[in-house]
This record gives sequence, structure tokens and C-alpha cells, in this order.
Amino acid sequence: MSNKWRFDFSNLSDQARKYEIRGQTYVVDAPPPPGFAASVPAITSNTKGNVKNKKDAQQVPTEKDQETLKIKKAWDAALSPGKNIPMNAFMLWMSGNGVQIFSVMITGMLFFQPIKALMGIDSVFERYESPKTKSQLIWPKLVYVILQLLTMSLGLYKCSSMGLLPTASSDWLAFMEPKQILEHSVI
Amino acid sequence: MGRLLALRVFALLILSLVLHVELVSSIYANQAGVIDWHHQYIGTPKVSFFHKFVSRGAYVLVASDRNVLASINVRSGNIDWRQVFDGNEDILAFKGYENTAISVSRRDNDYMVRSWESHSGFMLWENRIKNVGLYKNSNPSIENDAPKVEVIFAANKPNVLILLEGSTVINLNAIDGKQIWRSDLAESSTILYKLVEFKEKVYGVGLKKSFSSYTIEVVTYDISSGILKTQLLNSKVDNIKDMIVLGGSIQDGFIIWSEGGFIRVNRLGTTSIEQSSLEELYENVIPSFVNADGILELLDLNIRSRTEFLVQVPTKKGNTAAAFKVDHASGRLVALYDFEEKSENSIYSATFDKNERIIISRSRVIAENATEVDIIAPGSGTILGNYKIPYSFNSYGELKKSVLDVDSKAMGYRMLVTSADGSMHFWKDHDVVWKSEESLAHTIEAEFLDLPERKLWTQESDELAEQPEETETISPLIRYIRRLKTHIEQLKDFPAYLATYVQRLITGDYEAEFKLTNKSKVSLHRDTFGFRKLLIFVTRTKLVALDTINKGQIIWSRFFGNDVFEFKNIFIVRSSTVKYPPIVVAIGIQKNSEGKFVTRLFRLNGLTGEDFIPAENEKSFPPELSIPITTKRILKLPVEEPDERTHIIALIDEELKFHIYPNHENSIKAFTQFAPSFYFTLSDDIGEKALKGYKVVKNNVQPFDITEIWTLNFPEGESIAAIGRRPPNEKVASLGRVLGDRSVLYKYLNPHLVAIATLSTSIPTELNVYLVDVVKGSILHHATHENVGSSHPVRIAQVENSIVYHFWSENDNEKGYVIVVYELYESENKDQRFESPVLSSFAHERPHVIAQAYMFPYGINAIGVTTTKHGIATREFLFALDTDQVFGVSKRFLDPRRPQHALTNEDKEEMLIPYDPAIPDNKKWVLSYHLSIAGIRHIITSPALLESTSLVLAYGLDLWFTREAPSKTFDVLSEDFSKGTLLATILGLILSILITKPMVRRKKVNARWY
Repeated sequence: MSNKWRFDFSNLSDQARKYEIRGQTYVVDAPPPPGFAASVPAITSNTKGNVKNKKDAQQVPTEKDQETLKIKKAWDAALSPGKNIPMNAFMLWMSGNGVQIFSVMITGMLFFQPIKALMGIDSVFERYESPKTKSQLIWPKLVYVILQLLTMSLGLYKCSSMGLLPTASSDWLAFMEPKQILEHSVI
Repeated sequence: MGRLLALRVFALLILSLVLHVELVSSIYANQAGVIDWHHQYIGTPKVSFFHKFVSRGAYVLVASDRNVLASINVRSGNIDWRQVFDGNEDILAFKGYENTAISVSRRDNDYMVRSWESHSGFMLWENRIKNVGLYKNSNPSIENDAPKVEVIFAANKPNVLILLEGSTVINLNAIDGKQIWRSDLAESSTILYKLVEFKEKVYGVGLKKSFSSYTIEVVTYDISSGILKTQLLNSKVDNIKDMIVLGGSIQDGFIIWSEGGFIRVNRLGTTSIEQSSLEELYENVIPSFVNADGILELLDLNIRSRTEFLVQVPTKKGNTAAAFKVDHASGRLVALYDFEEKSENSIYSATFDKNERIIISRSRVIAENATEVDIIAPGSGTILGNYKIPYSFNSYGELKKSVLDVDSKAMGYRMLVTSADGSMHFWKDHDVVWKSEESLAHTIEAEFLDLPERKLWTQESDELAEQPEETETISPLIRYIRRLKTHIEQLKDFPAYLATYVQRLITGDYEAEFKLTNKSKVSLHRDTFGFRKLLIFVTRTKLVALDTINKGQIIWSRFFGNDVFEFKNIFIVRSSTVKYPPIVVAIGIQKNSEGKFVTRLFRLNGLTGEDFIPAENEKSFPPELSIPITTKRILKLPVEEPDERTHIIALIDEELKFHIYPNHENSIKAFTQFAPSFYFTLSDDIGEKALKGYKVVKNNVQPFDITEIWTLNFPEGESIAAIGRRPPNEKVASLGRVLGDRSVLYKYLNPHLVAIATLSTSIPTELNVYLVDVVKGSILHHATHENVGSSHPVRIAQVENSIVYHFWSENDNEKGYVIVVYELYESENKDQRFESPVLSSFAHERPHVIAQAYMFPYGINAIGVTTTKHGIATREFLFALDTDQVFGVSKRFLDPRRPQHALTNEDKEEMLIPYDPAIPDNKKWVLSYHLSIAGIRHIITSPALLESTSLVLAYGLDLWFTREAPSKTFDVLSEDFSKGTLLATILGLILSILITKPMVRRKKVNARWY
């Protein structure tokens, strides 16, 4: 009964840790979860199922490769909102310029999504972050922000084409003070 | 500021809502009479009589001074039928004849004789009699106090004999109105007053001028041929009042007159004269005449052909009267009954019962709240009744005229009484069966008065009643406890409030809480939506306040007949929005003992009608004030005096002196601060040929001098035909008009701009419309319409930046009523305005005027405009049509921007309606549905608290009140909104949440386990 989910506790390493629970002492030398490269070498096994595992273990990238990969991935993440723009534009065009519930919802979405995304920008790029990549991540982040803003501006454009932006003088009419009348007359 | 902003955002929101609302609104049949009410009036009766014809029962037929013929149901006081004549057609006589009634009226110089079916009011025939009084050269001194027209019916023939202008006698066939004969007196110095017919002869009794007095002349006509002969009686009469003519029909007729110390009697057709000495009368025959102190007066009781009459004599303590009769056989006077001396003024009326026994009533006001009526059968000397009837002397004044009738079915005596204020009262025995406030048919002005909030009302009796010293000493804690007490006190009303709330929710009837119950009088306070207001009417001699709900019930009325000869104006100088009661100032004129005119001002509490006496400054604010001037104009100034916070009223007299009221130091101070920026006009009445602008000269002393600063003379032959007047509290929601491309045309909102229409005397008539700035007197715009019908009145309405006027066009291709609408903008170009934060008339700014004209389907008598709280709802122009209806046309139809081409997208965005040369005659626009509201002269409006709704009052002869929502009631749930469904849905949702919540929780917990 051996598969990849099974770990061999028999050959305890020097990293054995001791736990004392309810008076009894347990010694644990559980290997780190799979994919935790830096730790103990993966358990070798003769079974077929472990071939892949072995292969991965063999191809552990160098630190430099890994960083290039992270930057690359970060760029992918940064450009992903850009891919949505044409789709959003199409949706906007389909929804028309009338002020209806559907078009307003779509337009609202165009504002909320970028704002949400910008709030969570750190979590998006967190996994690509390392002491070395930190300085390089500025650019993907910037592009990410620009693309989100672009999406938002699409929303703004939609608003203006729906006439929801207070750009015309009529929009400020209600806030205008009436003129002060200097003379009084009674007819 | 923040509130203002919020208000504007709200306004914007509503505006966007409003623009999406349908244009046409009308009501369903079951809504008629629910929110509106209609009072029908006929005016003060000139002639009134009980008319009975076979089995139809009795009804009162009335001809009034407002030129209305009407039949009134004696049981309910309702008008069975009514015929309203033109204002210029005076009814001179009205008399019942079998199942018809004959009326004589005068139109231009001709007399119209009409016969009406008395129970239906249908006209049977009409005969126009021309060229009357051509030879007449009457003496005006006696003509003034004589009846101009006399109508009698022949005894044995279906003939109507009519005396016109004291000289022409006409015999008409009563069945078809054909003239049988006509006779004009060629002799000029005789004026006939009375007609009597008996034994196939018609006698016209008149007076002929002799040296210092008059001689009685009798003209005798043959009833079939009209051939006449005249005969002078040996007599001397000073005044027409000293002569009465009785009898006729199947009996002989008699002339009775007082001459010297005698009462003389002549049997008509003879020259013999019987006489009785007054001395004898005073000393022996009538005991109460012993105290006589004045000239005796003969009173004709007007009871068909009977020969009974009254003699009334003033005494030292009051007056007395006696009934007399002319004995047929002997032709002598017989004394019947002595009415005895009474200190109050009495009025008499007579009738006879089914036994042909004569019955006389004597009515008089005996106290502030009661009248006494004596019913006497003078023949036998028995007193048939003595009734005390509740009557408010303060509201109605003296009794003026009564008509007595015997109710043969119910065995009672009923009376129609007219009081000094012009109203009608119907009494039966002890009871007031109905009364009708006919003085409202003579309304001069009407105003809406806002009611105070209920909160203020209770606080007023609570906190505000405390004395100033007390206020200073009270600690905050005690104040708090006191406030708490008030709230606990108010808690008592909570169950009732809850009940009305639920009732309102279910029925949707927002007036339910004000519906009068028998229990108590509902206190005067504002309702939730501000639909409840008082309507204050000023009639010739009376003030009347009506409730807008409860079908226009009278809240208070006050008669000023003894103090005021005629009211001119009424002003609400302080509204109820502050904590103190509203104050109304009524201004009238009166002749004083020297025959000079005096202007009288009365300061009243608007809620009760009582004199208003302020707690302090009592001397500065007298409840009554007389100023010995004849006022030319009265103005309510837009400035308040600081003590009582009431508006100052200005009176300008004939000598062009400017008086202000109230006249005390602080108000003069307030006025002098205001005076430099104040301009006004005089002589801006219909028919004037010039307009003059004035300003007050600064000289700190009352009365102020005024100086003319400009005169605008209209071109030769033109005189003012109409003046546009803005609604008093005009609220402008938006300073501009938003166009389809979201740009703005800025409105020209100059409050000094007045539209004046003049008609020229030339033929064809020209109509000129001037837009005049009354501060500087310059014409800002001028338009001319050629070929206008001069006999049709021109009407103008002005609101915000628009002006609407209506006239008759005589042009061949567009003959008919035309309505023109102007809109004034600051500039022709979009988004362009006068860059100045102030508006001064002295800046050289001229409006850009755009105009459009339409054909209008009706002639109109008045124009009104709806006013709403913030002025956001689309305005609606209300027209009083000459068909006695009120017709509402939305501003969107009277819009000079209606495009004359196919609608572009921008036009659609602006929601314009394509131009159509005619305003459609849409029956759904008739607000008054099937009602016939006779004689409307004004339409006034007032805002409710709901932005959508405007209160509308049309008055003139009738009163009609309604609520109008020109953009539909967008701020109230509609009546058919199913509140039940909504509540059921909410309840269902709550229930389902309660049920599913534990289920979901359990499921979530379970999910954790696996």
C-alpha cells in the first residue's frame, strides 16, 4: 500500500521534533507538504506513481530561473485586464445609450470591478514578490493600474454617452443661485 | 445652504420624474365631487315669490341682482333650475303666471320679455320690444325711486300687460308672446308707475309734474283695442312713495295716497275721492300711532288683487304699523289691526291661506343671535304664531325683505328672508330650514389662507401662552417636564390618530380626519398634505371664510354693513407659518356723516374672524382704523414691520399722498429703509390711456409724498384692455430651460415686467401688447395684432417667464379665438446669460422673446395658472370658458418652442410636441367635468404641501374648488395601488425568512461535518 499521499515515517531524520501531548511524547518527522522544495528531499519510491514526482524533484529550477518566471507571470497578470476591454466595449455597445437597468448595471460593473481590482492589487502580485523581484514588479503593477483605469474610463465614456456626466451647463442649473433683485415694484 | 442644496437635488429628481409623466389627466365618474366642490349661487333676490301650480307643490322663484332667474326647492334649498343672463342684461321684473313665469329684462336699449315654464326653466317664448321710451322726457328725481317695469296679467284673458319706462304699455298674448297692442304715451310729463286691470279696462296710474309737486294721472286702455283716454285726479303728491295702487283683477282697483293730513282713496275709473284724516287715525283708530314721530309710509303688500295694505310710522322708541283695507263696496278705508310699537326695525310680508284669509308676518332682529317672527291674521286680529328663530346678526345684519307663505299641507308658515348682506334664509315656524350665503355671488376678492400646523396649535396654548416674566424664570428642567407633559397629553390622541391612520391606509381618503362628526367642531389645523386651507372672501359688505374641505363649509362670516359701504381689498398680512395666528386686513370705504368718503381698515384674526388685538403694542395696531381719505390705490408692500411681523399696506389717496398702515414708528422706519428701491404704478386700470410710474419721496413724515418718475403714453386711440398679473407667491424651480442637447436657455425672470394689452379705437381694431418694465417705464417688447374683435375681451396671464394672452381675431383666414404664448429668455443663444449676480431694471438688458400663436376653441372669462410648492410640476393654464367650464391646458401645449418641422432627436429629448395650429378641444382637459360653473370671473390657485398638487378656486357667481395635479400625482400612491398585495408580500417574505433561517443554519452546520 504505497502511493504518493503516503509518507514513510520510519526513517526519521535529525530534524525530529518532539511533541508532548497529554503526558505522552510524540516524535514527528513529517516531511513538508509536496512542492516545498527547499526542505527534505522528496521521498524516493519505487512505485510507478512517484515517477512524476521524482521528475519534478529532479527539475528544481534555479533561483534565477524562478525569478524570471515570476516576472513573466507578473506581466501576464498585469495584462489580463486588457484582454477584458474589448469584451466590455462590446457589451457596452450592445446595451445601448438609454438609461435602463441593464445598461446602468453594466456601467456600474465597469466602475466597481476596476476599483475592486485596484484595492486588491497587492494580493494579485503577492505571489510574484520576492526580495529580488520587488523592484521589478513596479512596471507590471503600473501597467495593471493603467489597464484598470482604462476599463474605468470606458465606463466613464459610457456614462457620458448616456448623459449621466454633469458636463453640460444644464447639469449645474439646479444649483445656480437666482439673481438678487435690486428694485421692488408693485403693480 | 445645505438644505437648499438638498432641496435642489430633490427638485432635479422630481423634474426628471415629471417629464416622464403623461400629459392628459382626467377623472373617473366616481371621483366627481370627491375632491372638488361646487356651490351654486344666484345672487341677492330682487324679486322672489312662492309659486304654486296644481300638484307640483310650491317652489320659490327668484330673480336676482346678478341677473339670474332660479327656482329653489323649498325643502332643501337646492336650485331646481337656473337661467343666468348676461352681465349687462338686467332683470327688471319677474312674475309667475299659471305654470309659467314672465321675466322682463333690459338689454342695450331694448326690452326682452320671456316666458319660462316654471317647473323646468325652459323658455317658452321671447319677445324683443324695441324703441321704448323714445318720447320720454322724464324727471329723474322721481324716476329713480320708482319701479321701472310693471307686469300684470289680465283676469279673464290670457294677456300679459307690461308697463315699460313709465310710458309704454304693451299687451302680449301669454300663450305665445305675440303682441296684441302697444301704446306709447306721447305726453312727456307723465310717468306711469302702476298698472291695474279690471272689467276689461287697463288703468295706468302715473304722476304728472305740476308746479311744486305731482298730480295723479290715470290712463285708461281698452284691453282688446288699446285705445286710451287720460284723466287727471284732483290731487297733490310729493313723492311716488306716498301713493300705492291696489286691487284689480276681478275686483275694483283703488289709488291710495297721502296728501296733507289725509289719506285719500280713489276708486279707479271714477273721480270720486274718499278721505280719512290722519289726526283721527292717530288719536282714535290706531292706539299705537299716538307716539308717532315722523311721516307715515304706505306699504304695498303685493298680494295679487287684495286691497289690504300697511301704514308704517316711526315713533320715538322705534316704529309701529297698522293694517288697513279698502272696503270694496264703499271705497272707504277700514282699519284692521294695530301692530303695536316695537323698538326694532320690522319687515312685513303677507299672504293668504286657502280660506282667502289674509295673513301678515312681522319679523325683526331682537338680539345678536335671534329674530322674532309674529304671524298675524289681521282680519280677525288673531296671532297665529310667534316664533324665535336663531339668527346671527353679526354675520347677516338686518333683515331686508321677507316673503311669507302658508304651507297648506303641513300647516305651517314659511318665509324666505333676505338679509342686509344679501343672503337668503328660509324659515319654517321655529326652524331655519336652509340658508344660502348669496353674498358670495358678489365676491370682490378671495384669498387662500394657510392653516397653522397642529403642533404649533397645541404649543400655542401650552408654552406660548406664558407671560414673558414667566419665561425668564423657568428653569430648563421645569421646561423639560412641561414639554414632557405636553407629549403625554398628546398621547391621548394617539389611539384616534392610529385609527385614522389605518382608515386612511385602507380607504386612501386623506381628509377622513377632518370630516365633520356631530361630536365636536374640528380644530382648524393643517392636514398632512396641506390640502386644507381657508378661503377668505370679501364681498361688498361682508367677509366670509370657507373651509377648502368639508365641501366648503363656512368657518366664520362677518357682516360689516353698518361700518362699511363697500369693501375694496383684502390682504393676508401675516400667514400662519409663524407661531402667531394669521392676520387679515380688509379695507373698505364708507361715507361719513358729512358725506365724505372714509377709508376703513379692519385687522382680523384670519382663523376666527374676530378683531385682532395683539398682546403688546395694542395702540400701534388698532383693530379698526378710519383714515379720512379716498383711496386711489391700495398696495401690499413686500416689507414687514418689525413688531408684529405683518406686511405694510400702502394707501394712495386722490391727492397722491402715500399713507402706510400700520402707522407707527417702527413700521415707518422699516418703510423708509425700503422706500428707495420701491417703485409703483398708478392709473393702470382697464380703459386708461397712459401708464405712470411713481416713487416715494424721502421725507420721514406721514403721509409721504410721491413723485412721478415716468409716463408711458400709449399711441393715440389706444387704451388698456388687459393687464397681466403674476400669481402672488411665485416659485421658480429652474432658472433656465434645458434643451435636447443639454444646453440651457436662461429664463428672463424680471419681476417688474408687466404685459399690457391695448386696443385701438380705429377700425379695424388693433391689439398691441407691450411688455413694460414698471420700474423704469420702458417697453421691452412690443407686438401688434391687426384686425382684432374689439367687443371680445382680451385676457392675459403671466407666470415665470411666460405670458399668455387670448383675443378674437377677425382675419378672414383665421377668424376665431387666438391664444398667443410668449417665453422670455436672457439670450437667443444657448448657454448665454447676463453675467451679473444681480438683476436691476436699470441695466440695459432686454429679453429675447419667442412666441407662438394657436387657435383656441373657446372664448374665456378668466385665466389662472397652477402654482405648486416649489414650482417643479409642469404648469397648467386654467381657462374659465364661456361655456361655464374650467379648461386646463398644460404648459407643454402652450410652448413657443413647439417645432414646426418633423421632430428631431433633440426635440424628442426635450419632449416637445410638434406644432399644431389649434389647441385641441380635448374633453379630458375640462377639469369641471359636467358641472356648469356660472359666471366665473377669477381663478386663483395656491400650492399644497405636495409638490404635485395645486389648489384651484374659481369664483364669480358660483364657487368651485378642486385640487389639480398638472403632472399627475407623482408623489402620492395612486388610489388603485394595491397596498394589500404589498403588505402581503412583505409579510410573506418575513415569514419565509423565519422558516428558512433555521433550516439554512442547520444545513450549514451539517456541512461542516463532512
